[in-house]
Amino acid sequence: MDNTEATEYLQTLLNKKLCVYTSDSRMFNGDFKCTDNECNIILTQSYEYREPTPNAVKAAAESSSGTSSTATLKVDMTSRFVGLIVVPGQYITKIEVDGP
Amino acid sequence: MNFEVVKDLMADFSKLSSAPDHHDVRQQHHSPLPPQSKSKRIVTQNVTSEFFAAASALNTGQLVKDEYFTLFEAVGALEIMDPKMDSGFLTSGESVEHDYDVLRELLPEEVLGIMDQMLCFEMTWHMGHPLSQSLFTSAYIDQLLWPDPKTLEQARFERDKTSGPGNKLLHLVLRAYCLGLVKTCDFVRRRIMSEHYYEEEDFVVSLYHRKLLDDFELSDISTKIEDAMAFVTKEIESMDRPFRDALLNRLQLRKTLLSAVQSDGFLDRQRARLWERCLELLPMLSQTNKLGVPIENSFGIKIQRKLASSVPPRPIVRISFDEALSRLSGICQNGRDAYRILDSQAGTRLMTFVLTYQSRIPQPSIYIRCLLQSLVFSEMRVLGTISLKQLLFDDFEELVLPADILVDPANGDIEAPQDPRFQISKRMDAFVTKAADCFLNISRNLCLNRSRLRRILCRDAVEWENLQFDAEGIDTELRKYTKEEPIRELSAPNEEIWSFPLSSWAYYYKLRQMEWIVQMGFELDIYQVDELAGMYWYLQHLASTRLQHIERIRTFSAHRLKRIANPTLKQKTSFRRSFSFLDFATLEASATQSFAEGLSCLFSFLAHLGLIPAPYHPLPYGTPALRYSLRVQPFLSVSLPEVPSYPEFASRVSLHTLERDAGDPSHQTASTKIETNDQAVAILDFADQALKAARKDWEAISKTKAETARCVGCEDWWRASVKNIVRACITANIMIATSKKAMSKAASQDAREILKVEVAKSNELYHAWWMVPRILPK
Repeated sequence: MDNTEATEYLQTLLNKKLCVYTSDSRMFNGDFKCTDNECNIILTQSYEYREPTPNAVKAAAESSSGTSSTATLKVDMTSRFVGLIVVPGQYITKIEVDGP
Repeated sequence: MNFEVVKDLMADFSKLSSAPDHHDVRQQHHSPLPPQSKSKRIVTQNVTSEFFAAASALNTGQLVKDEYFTLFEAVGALEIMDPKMDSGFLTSGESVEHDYDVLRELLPEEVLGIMDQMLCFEMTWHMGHPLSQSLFTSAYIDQLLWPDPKTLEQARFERDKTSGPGNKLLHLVLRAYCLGLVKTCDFVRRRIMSEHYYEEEDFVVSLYHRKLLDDFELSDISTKIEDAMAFVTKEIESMDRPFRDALLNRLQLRKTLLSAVQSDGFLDRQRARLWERCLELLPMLSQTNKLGVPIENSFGIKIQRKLASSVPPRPIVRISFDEALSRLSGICQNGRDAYRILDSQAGTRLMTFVLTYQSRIPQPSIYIRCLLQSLVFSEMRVLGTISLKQLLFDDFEELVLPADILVDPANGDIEAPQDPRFQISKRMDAFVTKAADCFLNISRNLCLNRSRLRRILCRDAVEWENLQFDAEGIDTELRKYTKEEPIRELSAPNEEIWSFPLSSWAYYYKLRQMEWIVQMGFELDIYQVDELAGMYWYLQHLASTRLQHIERIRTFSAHRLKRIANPTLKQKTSFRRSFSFLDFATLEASATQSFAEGLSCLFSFLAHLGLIPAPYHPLPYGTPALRYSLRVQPFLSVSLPEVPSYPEFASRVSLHTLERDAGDPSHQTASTKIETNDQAVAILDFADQALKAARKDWEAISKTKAETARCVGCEDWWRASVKNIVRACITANIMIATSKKAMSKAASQDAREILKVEVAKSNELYHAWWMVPRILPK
C-alpha cells in the first residue's frame, strides 16, 4: 500500500465507530478521529468495555441453576464512559469498524 | 476487503446500554448514549490488518485526522495503558475488582471505625473534592450503589445473594448508616445544584453514573436507621456499653442530619433545632472516635476504575477526623444560624444579614451558602413569606418614599383607568418587574465565594446603571399622577429640582455596590501596596458621593413631610423609619469616607518618603496611569458617578511621588530632604484629622441599636465586625502618632532610616477591608 492509498483508506474510516481491542483484553468503542504511522488511535465519546471478572461469571453460574450444563452463560460486560482517549498502537490487538 | 463478521452482541451491547445514568453523563460530558443496537445484531468488520498496513505506510509525523479535530483537543486525550492517565489500567495479575470482602463479619469497633472514616470523606466532599476521590472509594458504598438498586431492598451489601454471609452489625447497622449517609449527600447535592455555585471551584456534582438513592423516600431510610438503633439498644449481651453508645450516637447523628438537610419544608424555622441537635451529638462523637478501628483497605482508589470518568485516576483525599469534625461542626452551626435570617423581614435588614453572615471567617461552606440562597428566595417568595413586590415596596418606602402614594398597596385595587392611582400602580408594577432581579441578586450574590462576588458585582454595576436609567423615565412619567412640586432654590428660582425617587433608590444601591467592589479588592489582596493610597482615595470618593446622595434624598423627604398638613400616626411612623435609615446610612457612609481618606493620606505619606516600594515602576510598559485605568475599568461603563480622569485622580491622591524612579526620594533633585519631609508631614496631618473623625464615627456606629443599624438577627456578628473596624481605626491612629513622633525628631533625615513599614495580607488584619499598615521606628 503506498502512502496515498493508505491515507485515502484511513480517511474513509474517520468518524466511524471503531472497536479497538487492547492487549489487556479491554475493548474501546468510540468515534475515530486521528491516527499516525505508529497506529496510535484517537477516539472520542468512547466507552470502555471489560470482560466480566471470574467472580461475576461464578456468581452468574450459581444463579442460573436449573439450566443444563451445556447452556451458554450470558454475563454482561462491564462498561463505563471514558470520553476522549488515545490508544497507543503497541497495545492494539484488534480493530473493528461498525457497519459494512 | 476482509471477511465480514456478524457477531452476536447480546452479551456485550444490549445490556450495556441500559447501564449508565444517561442524564448524568450528558450533563457532565456531553456524551451520547452508549452504542445501542436496534436489532440485537450488529455487523462489524475486522479491519485490523488493513488498518495496521495503512498506518505503517504513513510517513513519520503524518497524521490522518478529522478536519475538525484539533491537535489542541488531542492533548486532552487520556492515554490508555498509561498508569498515570488510564484509570482502567491493571498491572499484570491484578484484578479489576476490589479485593476487600464487604461481606466479612464486622466487630463493633470496626463498624465505628468505618463510620468515622466515611464521615471524613463526606466532609472532603463538602470541601469541594469529587466523590470519586472521597466517599465513592468505599467498597461498602460501591456495593450498595452499583449496580443501580431499583428498590431500597436491593441496596444491600450481599446484592443478589438471598442469604449471604456477614452479621447484623454489617447488614443492619452499617447498611442503615450508609443509606442515611448517601441520602444526606443526595439532599446536599440537590440543594447546591438548585442554587448558584461554581462547579469545581466550590463543589463537584459529578456522580460518575451512580445515583444517590434519589428515588427512595427519606422516611424509609429513617426507618432503617431506627431499626438499626433498636437492634443496637438490645444487644446488651454481645456488645459493651461504650460501643453501643458510640454506635447509637452515630446513628442518631445520621438520622438528625438527614432530617436537617431534607428538601421538603426547609423553610421551617424548626430546622434550626435539628442543626442544634446535631451539634449536641458532636462532643460524644469526638470522644468515642478512639474506640473505632479504621479499616483502611475498605477504601480503595481502584473503585475509580468502575466509575465513568474522563479524567485520569486521582488520589484519595484524606483529612483527619478532627478536621472533619470541625468542618461538620461549622456546617451545623452555620445551618442553625442561617435560619436567623427569617427574622430579617425587610430589604435593608436582609442585606445586612447576608453581608455580615458571609463576611465571617472562615466563610460558610458551599452547602450552607446555597441553603442561605434558598432561604432568601425560593418558590417566588422572599424568606418564605414576602412577595417580591412587598419587598421592593417596603424598601422604596424605607429609603426614598416614606408614606408616599406611590407605594400605597391600595393602588392595586383601583380598576378605573382614569384614576391616577391606576396609572401609578401600572407603572410601579412595571418597575418592580425590572428591579426585582437586580435587587434580589445583591443578597444572593453575597452568598457566592468571595472572588466570584467581586466579579459579579463588577458585572452587575452595569445592570444597576440601566435600572437607574429606566427608573428616571418612570419617575418622570409618574410626576403628573403624583402632582409632585419641584423644589426651587432661592439662589436659582427658575431651576426646578425634581425628586426622582425610583432612580435615587437605584443610584443608592449602585453606589453601595461600587464601594463593595473596591473593598472586596482589599479583602482579596488585589491591589499592590503602591496602589493602596489611590484605591482608598477612590473608596472615599464613592462614599462621599453616597453621602451627598443621602442628603439629596433627605431634602426631598423632609420637603414632602412639611407639605403634609396633619400627618397621621402611620405617616409619622413611616417618615421616622425612613429618617432613621438615612441617619444611619449617613453615619456609616461618613465613617467609611473618613477612614478611607485617612488611610489614603497615610499611604501617600509613606509613598512620599519612599517607605513603600513602587514595584511596577521600573517595568518598561507599566505606568501609574495604565494601572489606574485597569483598576477603574469596572466603573467605566457607569456614567454616574463619573470616573475621575487620571490627572485629576493623581493630583487628589498626591501620587506624584510615584512618578519618580523606583520611589526613591533621593532622585528628586528639585526639592531638598527638608522640603520633602515637610510635605510629607502636611499629608500626615490630613491623615491624622481624618482618622480621628473616623474613629469617632465608628465608635458611634458600634453603639447604635440593632433596630437602627438594621442588623436584627445578626447583631452579634455585626457588632464583632464593627468592633474589628474600630480596632483597625485605633491602630491607624497609633500608627499616625508613631510616624509623627519619628518625623519630628528627624527634620532633615531620610525617613527610611528612622521608620520601617509592613503591610500585612488581608487575612492578618483586624478587618479585611481596612489595610492598616504597621509603622515601626527603627
